[in-house]
Amino acid sequence: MGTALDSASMKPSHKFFDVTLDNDLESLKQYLSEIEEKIFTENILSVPSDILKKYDRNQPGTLTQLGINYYNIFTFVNPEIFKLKEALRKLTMEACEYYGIDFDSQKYLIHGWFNSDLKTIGSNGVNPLKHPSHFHDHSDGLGAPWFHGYYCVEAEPSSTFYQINKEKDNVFENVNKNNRAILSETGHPHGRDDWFFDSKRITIAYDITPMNSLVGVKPNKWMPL
Amino acid sequence: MGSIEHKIFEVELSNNLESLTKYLDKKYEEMKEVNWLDKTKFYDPGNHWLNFNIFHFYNEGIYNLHKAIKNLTKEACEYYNVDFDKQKYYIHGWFNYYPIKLNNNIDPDNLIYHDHGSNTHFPFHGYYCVNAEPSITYYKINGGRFDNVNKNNRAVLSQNGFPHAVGSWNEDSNRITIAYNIRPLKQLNPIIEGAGQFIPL
Repeated sequence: MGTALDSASMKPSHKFFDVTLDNDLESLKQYLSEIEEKIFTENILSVPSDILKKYDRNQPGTLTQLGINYYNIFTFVNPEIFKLKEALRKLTMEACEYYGIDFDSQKYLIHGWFNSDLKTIGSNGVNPLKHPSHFHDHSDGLGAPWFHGYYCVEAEPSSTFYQINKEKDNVFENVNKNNRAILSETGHPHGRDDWFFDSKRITIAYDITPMNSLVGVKPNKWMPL
Repeated sequence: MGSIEHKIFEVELSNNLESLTKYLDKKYEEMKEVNWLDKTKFYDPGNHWLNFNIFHFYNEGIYNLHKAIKNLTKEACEYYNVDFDKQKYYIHGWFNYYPIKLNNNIDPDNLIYHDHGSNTHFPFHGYYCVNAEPSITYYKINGGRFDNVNKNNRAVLSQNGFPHAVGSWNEDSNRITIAYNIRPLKQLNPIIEGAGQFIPL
């Protein structure tokens, strides 16, 4: 496979890496629903109670925010999530090959969380094409070897928009497909579409980072990829 | 695993032990600050093993160890005719930081032996020596005793069901090892153990 080079930087141009899994999505949805319930009713993440009560589970991004400090979804004991992590390791190897990065020497760590979002109502819209402030990035948008991605558990029909190279007029619409995992280098801000259905929109998102960027950081929930 | 003869699997790493010891010394002081409740007793992070998983630490040597243990587990599975991929193994690790004098002059047969859970569903346990020379770890195997002479920078793995005990340590430094339990997914509780104690191997 040839590599397209970005004429300005001679760096390979942006590319999405994806893989479709054969996970049992009904089983995974049920598991995540149970986990979500127990996070808020049984505090299984041991979040200090005064902090937990500040989180509104009905607001988009709540489980993401909890994930930053209190959990890594890949530590959850579940066969579908286990398989997803294995698939992400392979996707990251593929991405490293594309960008000319030595996968082994990076000693990659992964941190993941899940999103379980309600139907968009009124002013709760998050579509970044209408509300550009919802374009966001991960790992300071540094680009490869830092990666980010997501896996759709129930996100059809919807799209996720990427601002390629942070250019306002260069937006790529990624049409989501359930049971598919996506990986992209950071540095290309993204945001999801609104959601117009009664069932929850469920995705699993993840950051993948080289260990050297975390040296000296207080250990929290990152783990070897 | 029943009828297959017990075997200890091992691999030597090329970790920088001076750097790893320095790192664990620092972690020890940090953890002691938070967890050392009974000041009359020596603080050993191994006694708080349920509160952390060392494989969440961001250290190159520990990362290398995680990878080496995965390969050792694959080797053990091959020996016991177990499908490694199907088991979906998880790992929980901690470090032991023993006093500078331990179990001296105790007959190996009179030491307190322990195990790490049942031996059903192919679980494994092992340890890696950071600073454990000279010392011996004793295993009770089918009525007999196996003396495992420890070697720094070496990771070992054994199936559960064979109790072990640490022999004498009479050095001027703390005895440091990293220990780990490896369990298949079906042996873990999906909710209770879902908060980070075990991570995929």
